[in-house]
Amino acid sequence: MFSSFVGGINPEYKKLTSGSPIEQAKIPERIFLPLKQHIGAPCTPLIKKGDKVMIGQKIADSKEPVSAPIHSPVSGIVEEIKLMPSQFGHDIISIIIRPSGDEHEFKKSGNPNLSRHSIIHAVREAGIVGLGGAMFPAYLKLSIAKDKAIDTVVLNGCECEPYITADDALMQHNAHEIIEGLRLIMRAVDARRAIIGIEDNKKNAIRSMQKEISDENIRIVTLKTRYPQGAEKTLIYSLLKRKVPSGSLPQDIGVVCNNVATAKAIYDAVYLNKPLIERIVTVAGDVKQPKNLLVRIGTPVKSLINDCGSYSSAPKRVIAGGPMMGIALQDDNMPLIKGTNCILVQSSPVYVSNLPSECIRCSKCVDACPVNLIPIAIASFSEKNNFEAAKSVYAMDCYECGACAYACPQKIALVEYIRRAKNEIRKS
Amino acid sequence: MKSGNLELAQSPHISSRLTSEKLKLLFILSLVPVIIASVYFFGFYSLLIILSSTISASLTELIIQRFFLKSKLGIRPGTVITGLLLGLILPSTVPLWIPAIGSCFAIAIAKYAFGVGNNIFNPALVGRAFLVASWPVLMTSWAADAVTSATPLAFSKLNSFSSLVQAHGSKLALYKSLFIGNVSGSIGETSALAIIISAIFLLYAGVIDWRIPSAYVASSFILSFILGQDPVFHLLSGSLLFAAVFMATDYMSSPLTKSGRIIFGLCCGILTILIRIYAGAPEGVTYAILLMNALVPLIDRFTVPKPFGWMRK
Repeated sequence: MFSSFVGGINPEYKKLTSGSPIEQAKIPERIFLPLKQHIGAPCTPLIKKGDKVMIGQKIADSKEPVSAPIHSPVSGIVEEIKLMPSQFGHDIISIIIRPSGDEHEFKKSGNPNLSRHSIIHAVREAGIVGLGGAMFPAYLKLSIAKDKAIDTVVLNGCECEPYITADDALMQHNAHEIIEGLRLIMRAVDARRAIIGIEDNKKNAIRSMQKEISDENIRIVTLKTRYPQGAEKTLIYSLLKRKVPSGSLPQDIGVVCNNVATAKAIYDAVYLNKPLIERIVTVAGDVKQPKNLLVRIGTPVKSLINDCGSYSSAPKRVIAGGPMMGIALQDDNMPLIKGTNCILVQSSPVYVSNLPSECIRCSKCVDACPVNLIPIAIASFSEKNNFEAAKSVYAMDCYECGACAYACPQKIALVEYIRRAKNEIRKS
Repeated sequence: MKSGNLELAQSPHISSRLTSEKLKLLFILSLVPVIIASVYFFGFYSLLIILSSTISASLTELIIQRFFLKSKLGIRPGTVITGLLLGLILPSTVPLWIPAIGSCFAIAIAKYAFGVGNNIFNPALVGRAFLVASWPVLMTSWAADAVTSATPLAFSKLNSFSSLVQAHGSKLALYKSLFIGNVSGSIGETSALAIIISAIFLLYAGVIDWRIPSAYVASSFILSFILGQDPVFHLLSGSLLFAAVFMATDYMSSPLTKSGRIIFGLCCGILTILIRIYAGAPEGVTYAILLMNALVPLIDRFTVPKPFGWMRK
C-alpha cells in the first residue's frame, strides 16, 4: 500500500502502549479547570467559592456562540477561583475543586431524543470539543449552514503522532460507543455515509471496530501509517480524494470530520447524559511505566506521571500532546485539559533550534510538507522580518504539523519561524 | 516541578536522526564503489590523484580559515567531498599537482569566495572547468590499461560511432565495456555499474532525491534518440551518470522546489547532449551543469508551487 498523500515523514513511532489496557488515573487532591479549554470565548463561572458541586454539574458557560461549557469532573467543593498560569503562556482564570469522593455513575436513560436539533443541543450542553487536539466546539461543527449539505462523515482514528495510543486503546475497548456516536453525528449532519480512517499500525483497533459495523453505509479504510495522516485536510484527501480549499472548511465540500474520542463523547452525552469530564490520555516517554490512563479533566499532570511510577530520569521537557505538535509545559502541576491526548516526558530532548540562514538547501523540508509549501522560504523571510514575502509563499496555509522541522538535517527551527510569520501576518 | 527546571521549547520535540553530518558521511561512503572501480581500472595511481585532491582541498580550507577568516580551524566534510569528487573526474594520467591546484581553486573560489554554505556553482565542477581551461592538453590525455587512448565519446566524435563499435567488435561488446568501466575516461566516471550501486545506496539512505538523476537520465536518453544517436551509448559514456548521481544532486547548487528539480535535471540532460553533439568538446556535462547552476535561483522563483487546496478566487 502506498502513502495516500504527498509529503509527510516516517518518524520512529514508539507506540509502546498500544497493547496497554486503560487504567483509571487516581483522582487527585485538587482539580484545576481553566475557563478556556476550547477555541473561542472563555466561559464565566456559574458557581462561586465554597459551593458544593456534583460530578457532571455544569459550572461554567458562555453566551458566545463559539464556546463550550465546562463541567465538574468530580463531586466536591469549590476551593477557589483564580488566575493561574496555563500551558498557552498566559494566565487563565481557573476553578479549583477539592474532590469529596462521592460520585454517581452515568447510566443509560430511556429513549433519548434523536432529532438533529436534540443531538446538537446535547453535544453543546455536554461541553464536547474536538478531542483530537484542536478543541473546536463540537456542536458548532455539527451545526451545518442551511446552504450546505454533508454527504460523508469522516471519523479520524489515525492517531498519527508517535507515542500516542489513546485513540487506539479507545477503539480497542469502546468500539461500540464510538460507532453509535458516529451514527449520532451522521444524524446530526444528515449525512448518508461515513468512512473511518485508521492507520495500519493499529490492527487490533481495526479489528475491534470492524466487529461493530454491520451497515453498508459505514466503512473502515486502512491507511498507510505516515505522519501527518491524521491531519483533517490530509485525511479527507486520503479517504475521499477531495481537497479542502485554502481558507475553507470541510463542510464546504460536503464533509464533516471528527475524532473517534469525540464520537464516543457524543454517545456519552446523548445516551448516558454524561458531559465531557474524562478522557483517555497516553503518558509516555521517560516515565517508569508508560500507560494509557482514563483521566478526569483538570487532573494535574504530575498526578498522572506519578500514576506511571514517576519520572525514570530527571525530565527536561514535559509535553502536553504529541512530540510533533505538543506544547511544552512550564510546570508539571498544570492540569490536563480537554484536548490533551498525551503527556510526553523527555529527559534528553532533541534541539531543533538553528537559524534559517544555516540552510544547506537539501529540500527535505519541501519533500516533507503535506501542504506543498516551501518551509525554508517562509522561515527565511520570517527571519528577515519580511512578512509580506512570507505571505506570498503561502505562510498562512501551514498547519504547523512539524514534518519540515523533523526532516531538516540542520535542525532549523522552521515551525517556530513560520509561526512567527503567521502571527505577524494575522496582526496586519 | 516549577518552571526553571522544565524547558520551554516549541514543537516539534523530536527530529530525524539524519543530520547534515550524517548526510555528508553517507555521501562519502557512497563514493567507495566508484573509488574501488577507479583503482581497478586505472591502478593505485588513482588513489594518489584522489588523495592529492582531497589533501589540497583540506589544506586550502585550513589556510583560509587561519589567515583570511581568522576563524576556528576545522576540516568540513563538504570540503572533503569536493576534494574526492574533483579527483574522481580527472584523467588517470594527470601529474599530481593538477588535482592539487584544481582543488585549491575549487575550495578557495567556488566555495569560500562565494561564502561557505552559499556556493552557486558546484565546486568540483568549477575546479575541473578551471583545469580544463588552463591545461587543456594534460586534462585530455586519457588512458586505458596504461595505454593512451581517446575516450569513447572523443573517438566517436572524431571518427564515427560505427567505427567505435567496430573497434569494440559489436554494439553489445561496447555497451558491456561502458557498463563495467573498461574504457578510458576520468578515473571515477567509467564504471556505470559502480555508479549505479552508489546511486541505489544514496537513494535508499535518503541522501539524494530521485528527481534530478531521473530527469537527467531521461532527457539525455530521449534527446539523443531524437537526434539520431545511440541513447544507450550516451547514457553509459562520459561522465553523464557520474554527474547525474553525484554532481547535479549537490544540495547547494540545485533547486529547492520539486518541479524545479525536475526542470533542472531535464535541462542538464538536454544541454549535455546538445554540447556533446554540436559543440567543440566531446563531453558536455561540466558546462551543462555549471550553466544550470547559474539558473537555479530563477528556476526556484518560478516554480513555487501552489499550496494543497489552493483555489483560484
